[in-house]
Amino acid sequence: MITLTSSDGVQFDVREAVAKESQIIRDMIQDDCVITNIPLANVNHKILSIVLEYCQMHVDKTEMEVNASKHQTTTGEGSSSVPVALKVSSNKNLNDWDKEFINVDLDTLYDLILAANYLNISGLLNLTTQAAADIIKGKTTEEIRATFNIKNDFTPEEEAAIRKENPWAFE
Amino acid sequence: MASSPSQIDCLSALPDELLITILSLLPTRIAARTSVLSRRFRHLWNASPSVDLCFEYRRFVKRCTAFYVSMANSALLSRTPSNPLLLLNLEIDYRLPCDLTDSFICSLLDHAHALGLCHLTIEGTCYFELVLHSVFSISSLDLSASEYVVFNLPETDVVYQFLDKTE
Repeated sequence: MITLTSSDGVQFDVREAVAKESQIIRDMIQDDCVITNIPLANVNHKILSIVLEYCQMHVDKTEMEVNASKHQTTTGEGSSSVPVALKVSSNKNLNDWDKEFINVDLDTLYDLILAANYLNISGLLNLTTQAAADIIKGKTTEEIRATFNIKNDFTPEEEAAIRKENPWAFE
Repeated sequence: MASSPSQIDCLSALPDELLITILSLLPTRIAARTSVLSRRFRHLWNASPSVDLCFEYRRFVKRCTAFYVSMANSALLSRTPSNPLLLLNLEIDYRLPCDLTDSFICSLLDHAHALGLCHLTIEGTCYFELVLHSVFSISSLDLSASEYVVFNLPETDVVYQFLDKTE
């Protein structure tokens, strides 16, 4: 077990495999194999618990697949199509789970993007940045500003000039 | 999904690198739209390592070609080597005139090649015959096209695959 301590001092005991979903933690463990307590200065306990939920789920799913294929190998039964089918359905489940998991408010989404980047968890970074991109997609500039509360600091003339530069972007 | 509006503008507070990652996941047409959001976003879309030229002007058929060409000019042809390109997605539509397709697409590919392109995807829904001069330097090539499209691939070590559109 590894203890991760959030920026606000809350401790989380997790399995090494779960903590190692983070590239920086993986590197720390590799450099110092007796390390048991890792302070994470940039992630508070609220976000860390969400991040760990993601890591836990992804580790569990991977382990389930490995076990299933091991079982397949040791029993030597059936055709090779079984583990493939299992893997496909398991990937589908995991995608559905990810979709549900990322259904969070915008402030949490930003914090998760920053945490995924800081901890270097590529799957979570892809998931969160894609979610942000999906929110931008299909919105007019006014809607994007309203959604993210972005203050327009252009004068109307400046904005009109920028629109004129790339008219194809605004049809 | 994630719809409750934010009280503070955390998006603008993200570091450039992460905002650029988000913009790189959008079609270029949408990414470029962010240039008018605020000064913070003015030039960020230009820094995206990905250019995705899709053909989406369904309601403006007559202006399609002009828009596509002008989008390709702004997003790709005016790009300088100081701003490397990793990923290019080209959608080639039947509404692009055939005489334009060959020379124009080849000029896009040559320029992308000069910018260090690694991953190329071409989706074609028109009849054309395209000589891919520049593919030998890239690491992945995905072609998703109707049966009427002929790609002439030079002798190359590139692993390329035809994507099945029916999937």
